[in-house]
Amino acid sequence: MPTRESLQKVILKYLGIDGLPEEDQKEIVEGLTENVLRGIVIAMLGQVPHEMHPEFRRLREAGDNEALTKFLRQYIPDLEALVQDETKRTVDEFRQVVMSIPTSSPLSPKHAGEVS
Amino acid sequence: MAKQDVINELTARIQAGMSSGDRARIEEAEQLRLLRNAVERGAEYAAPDADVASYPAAEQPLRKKLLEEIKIKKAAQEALAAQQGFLGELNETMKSHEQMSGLDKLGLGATYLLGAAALGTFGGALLPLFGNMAAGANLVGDMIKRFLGVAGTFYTMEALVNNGTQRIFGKNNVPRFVKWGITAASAGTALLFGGAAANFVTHGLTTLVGGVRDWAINWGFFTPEKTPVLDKFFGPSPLPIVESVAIGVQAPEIPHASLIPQVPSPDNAFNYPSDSVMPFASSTPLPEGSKTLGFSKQPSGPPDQIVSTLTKAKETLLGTSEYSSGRSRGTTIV
Repeated sequence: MPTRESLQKVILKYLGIDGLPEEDQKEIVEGLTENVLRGIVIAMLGQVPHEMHPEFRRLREAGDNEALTKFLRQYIPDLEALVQDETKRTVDEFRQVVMSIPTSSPLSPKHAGEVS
Repeated sequence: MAKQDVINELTARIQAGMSSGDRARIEEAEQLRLLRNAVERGAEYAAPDADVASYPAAEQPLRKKLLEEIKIKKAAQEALAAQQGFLGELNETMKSHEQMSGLDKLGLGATYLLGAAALGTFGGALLPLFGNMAAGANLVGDMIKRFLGVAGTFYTMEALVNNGTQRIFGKNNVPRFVKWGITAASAGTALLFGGAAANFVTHGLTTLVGGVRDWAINWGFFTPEKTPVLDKFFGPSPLPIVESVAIGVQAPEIPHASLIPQVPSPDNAFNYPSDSVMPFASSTPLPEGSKTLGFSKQPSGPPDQIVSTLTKAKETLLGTSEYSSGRSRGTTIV
């Protein structure tokens, strides 16, 4: 049975932060997630015409996800690709920073990404 | 009086005579300037938290650097949004994330980051596992939908790709293997970022597989007897990773496979009868011309034709004892 821990292990190892205290890991994952989501929203808003932003807000506040998705697809036909690209870009940037940490540290993430 | 005080006083006087709109614009410009400066300064802006000192020295550089990086990235993103004139909208949208509980935030993070990790580490070979792992750990829920809602990924991908292939092959001449490719690819995409991911919490991957099989039979492009290997894939036996990645294609060996958790199927697998709508099908109409596969909507057409198709499907299913028994005991996805 997979546990929250086993999932986290995959993620944290991939990000190269599995050596940090748990509280730090949570803080970093939360922050990184925010970065990912913010990046996605920016990419979306960048493709929706300015004059349609109030409509975007209206749909979002109404919580009508189906209508919101339909609305977004008018301007972003490949919504999934946008989400995937932005996620990958932000995570890759983060991993580059992790990889740049000097390898002399006992917490060196030199093996970041290897799941063993 | 110090120079800064003079500047502040002058600024205050000027602002007092301005309209609220002008003041808002100036404040936004000032915020943008500060954000730009922050990006340039980097570490200075992302000042370390006071409690950093309480950690062992060896742990500080990585934590500090990463938290700084996250803050710098945030500042850069906000500066970009301000530059494009939608910082307010961005912040409003992000509030929905801020209002989530800590657990939900972590769960949502896991959803996205695990997807990225699966892609990056295993070249996509773990994608079919992703939904199941998340389901087993009860991490995903409806968090994606709650944030922005990307529901409908599955049917949309299928519909879009289907439209394209029809143009290439002709409306009724799309080869069977292409159709299955579309199905597999759509499912894979939905697994990662679609609303379907949330449904895995409740229904599990087994439901998807069963649903795919049923609908494929209903729509006449899959005959279990003719393709026993494929049928076995959709049947009750444990699903090999190889086949779950790409039907008929030998997938690469997965490194560190021992880490991959074994996930028993949820108790409520196969809740859906063969003639039901796909569990996560959207009620949104499919785009024009995308009805050939009819994958995620009820069959359309003359009632007699539907009855005939469903009857045929039912006969086929009832005649396949292996599948029947599988429906009752569910499928374990490895």
